[in-house]
Amino acid sequence: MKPVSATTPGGQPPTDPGPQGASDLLARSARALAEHEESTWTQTRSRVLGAVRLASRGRVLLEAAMPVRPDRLSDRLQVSDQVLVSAMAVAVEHASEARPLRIEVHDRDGVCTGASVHVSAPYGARLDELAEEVRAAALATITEVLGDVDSGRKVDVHVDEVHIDEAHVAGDDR
Amino acid sequence: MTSGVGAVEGRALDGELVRAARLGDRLAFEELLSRHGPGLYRYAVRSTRNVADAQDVVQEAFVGAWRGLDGFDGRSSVRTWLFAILHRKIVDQHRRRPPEDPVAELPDDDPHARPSVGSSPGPFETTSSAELVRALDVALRKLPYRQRACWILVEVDGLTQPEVARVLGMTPDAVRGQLFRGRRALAELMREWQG
Repeated sequence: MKPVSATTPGGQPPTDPGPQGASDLLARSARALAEHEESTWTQTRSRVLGAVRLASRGRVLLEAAMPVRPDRLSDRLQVSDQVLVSAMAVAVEHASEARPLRIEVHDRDGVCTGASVHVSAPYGARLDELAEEVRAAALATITEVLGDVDSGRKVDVHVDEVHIDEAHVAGDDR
Repeated sequence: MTSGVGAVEGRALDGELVRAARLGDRLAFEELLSRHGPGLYRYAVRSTRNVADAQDVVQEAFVGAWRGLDGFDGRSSVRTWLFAILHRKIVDQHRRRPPEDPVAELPDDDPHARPSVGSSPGPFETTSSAELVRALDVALRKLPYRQRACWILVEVDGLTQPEVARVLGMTPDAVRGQLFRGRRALAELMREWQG
């Protein structure tokens, strides 16, 4: 059993409206939580790192659909390509077992013409099915983010790597 | 590992890491993630309906921080700045998908999920830290978001009340009130653990 001190991380004495026992318990609980690392943090850290690496800080502004108003015809809506890249990465990760590695947005004079999605596929996956899931997620995200500015968009999927699912390996070991 | 500005060598200050990251040093930003990520994620897990949502908001927060490095003005600590970004992502997520029953929506893939406060209470001197965290999680889920947020940020993460005010977009007086009510509610909810 791990001893836990009855002070807060900030060194502030817990001001407790209740009796001393409650104060001690809450202080100890706070310390226990401060020392607690979520079991899913390592996995989350990898995911966050991947997303940050995909998110270049350079910017290309893409034309997006603006709701048409006769008195506001000259207004424009533009979205950074990095917003689109990040959204596609999340969508691809949610929609498939693929791990997005790199996403390039293609444009012609600021109009998105499509994207190239580079992924890692899990070992043993049907690549044609995986590619379709990736393509569908990417296309849906482009439409969601930019609207139907250009219906002829093209999404290329590149399987650059194959990875072995860690959970799958752990299951085999058992 | 070679950084263009050498910021991640040794124990650089957070501000130096931000500067280096602003210049394009991703390793510096990754060091910030390593330092502050566990705390932000711990907070997110307790502020969203499940682990997947917590992962989403933490990912969005760090991507937002990466893109918004130019907006960090140094008036607050980096940690306060990161918590403020995370809070906005959590609020956005709550607006998109309001939580239903917060107690029923403890992280469903966490082995510590859904404990019963009353299952094995006892004198807290003999209670393990893991049991205490489980009981605390159940109690925290019963608090309104602002009370829960104020309590965690002050008591667990060690932020000052003005820093919490900045994170949550509240006045320091409002933080003090929420903190008082949160402490009182938690003391009541965990009374049976006092032995």
